[in-house]
Order: sequence, then structure tokens, then C-alpha cells
Amino acid sequence: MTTMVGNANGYTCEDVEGLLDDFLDGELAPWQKEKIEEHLAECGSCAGGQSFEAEVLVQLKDRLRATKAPAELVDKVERVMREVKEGEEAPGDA
Amino acid sequence: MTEREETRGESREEGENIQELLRPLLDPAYGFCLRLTRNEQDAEDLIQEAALRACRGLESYRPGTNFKAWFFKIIVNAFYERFRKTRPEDHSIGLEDAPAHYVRQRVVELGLDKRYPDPARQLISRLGMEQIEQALQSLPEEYRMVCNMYFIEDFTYREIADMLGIPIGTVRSRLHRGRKLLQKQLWELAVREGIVPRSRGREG
Repeated sequence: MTTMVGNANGYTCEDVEGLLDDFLDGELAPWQKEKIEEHLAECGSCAGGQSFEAEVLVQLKDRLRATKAPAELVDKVERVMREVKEGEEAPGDA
Repeated sequence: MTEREETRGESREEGENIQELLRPLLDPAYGFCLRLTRNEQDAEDLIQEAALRACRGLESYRPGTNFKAWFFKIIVNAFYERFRKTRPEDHSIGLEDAPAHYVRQRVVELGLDKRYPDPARQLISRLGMEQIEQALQSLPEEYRMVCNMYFIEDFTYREIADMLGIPIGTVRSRLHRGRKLLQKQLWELAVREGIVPRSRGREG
């Protein structure tokens, strides 16, 4: 996490660190993404930081996305949807 | 336009009925509701309420647009209308700013990056699901809501902004700050559990 790498046209380590979350989320404009990739290709320290943060996100997303809806809830929701649909199809029967 | 917004068209659905669209969303939607309400029964009630609203309000969904974002917006609205008022907000962690990328900073300071090939994976895989949930739940609600959306589904900042009715810059700042706070919480839990040493040279 130094600021030694970078030149007048490219990003410094500090720039990359500041934009890292947006970069990992795919939220940068293509030209910014390209400049970060150029920096990462030549700066081992920032590339290591980027891999670390990417892995933190992957791990957290994997764990938090493992939650399953209870089977009874899925049945209940299906029933709700069926009832609404049947009600719409037979409005006179209400 | 950002990189993700450019590729967003791929995830859009068209021409399917609501059951087919809703079914694959029930697992992530339940996880989302559970973290919002912090209670299984309330989470089940919330998701049923949202499904009912979705069925009844289907005409407001424009085919070809993002159904997942449309449905999650219904969940958020139902949550704010029916559940949030009953839960007083408790700030269980301090709101002072945590440094960015806290876990990595601590790992480097303690030299763990030199000793383990993949310290991020090892640290998080050793934390229990309960501890990760605890860390997320400890965030103040405005951060928890945005982080919850971000971690549960690959929503773009723009989609989260639209769902919550807040500016995209607010989403960005809440998400970035929420992630900082989350990393700090995770690290402190890992220290408390003896997964990482408190300081250099002191294991556990």
C-alpha cells in the first residue's frame, strides 16, 4: 500500500486503493477500469490487495447466499399465488 | 455507464408467468427478509405479504425489466410499512469510521499474509455462519439494508438506489462504509474466538 507506482498518465497506488471497492463491484467506467488493470499489472502490492479483497467478498457472498427458504414457506407462497390467480380467473365466484 | 450497467440486459426476464419468476427468488428473498426482520416468523410473514402484493400488483411490472429488483422493492416497501415500526433501532456498534480494508491491514500488520497462502479464505471459512450474521446484524439499519442487498444479490448500485429511493451516491457511501464496519466487526469476532491473534507473536 505505497504510492510509489504510478505516473502522470496512470493511477497511483493511492488512487487504486480508493477505487478498489468500486472496481471489485464492476461500478467503474470502462476507462477507469482499464487504468486500474494497467496499474495492477505492474504493481504486485496492489494486485495482492485486490486479490485479498476479492476473496473476502467471494467468501462472504458464498456464506450469506447459502440461506434456504423453509420448504413449508415455499408451499405457502405457491398457495398464495395460486389463490390470487384463481380469484382473478373466476371473479364472479367471490 | 458503468461496466455492470452495460451488461445488465442479460439478467432481464421476459414472457414468463409470476410463479416461474418468483420461485427462484424465494431463497435469496427469504435470506434478505430474515436479515431485515431478524426473526424467522416475521421473515416468513414478510415474504408472503410481498408475494401477495406482487401477484396483485403484477400490472405495475413491465415485462422485459428486472423482475428481481421489482420484487425486492416490494419487500422493502412492505418491510417499512409493516415491520420496521415495531422494531426499535439499536446501534450495537460504534459509528466511528473504521479504516478501509481493515481485515487486510490487520493481516499484513500481524504478518499472517506471509504465513498462510490464502488468509482471507482461511479467516472467513473459520468463522461460523452465526458470527458472520452477527457481524452483519450489528450494522446500523441504513448500512445493514444496503449491505444486505449487496451481499444477497448482485444488484448494481443503481438498482439498489432505485429500490430504496435514494441517490446512487448515498448507496455507494453507505455500502463502502458498511463494508468497512463489517470487516472490523468480523476481525474483532475472529480475535474474540481465537481464530486470529490479538497482536503479533501472541497466538489466540
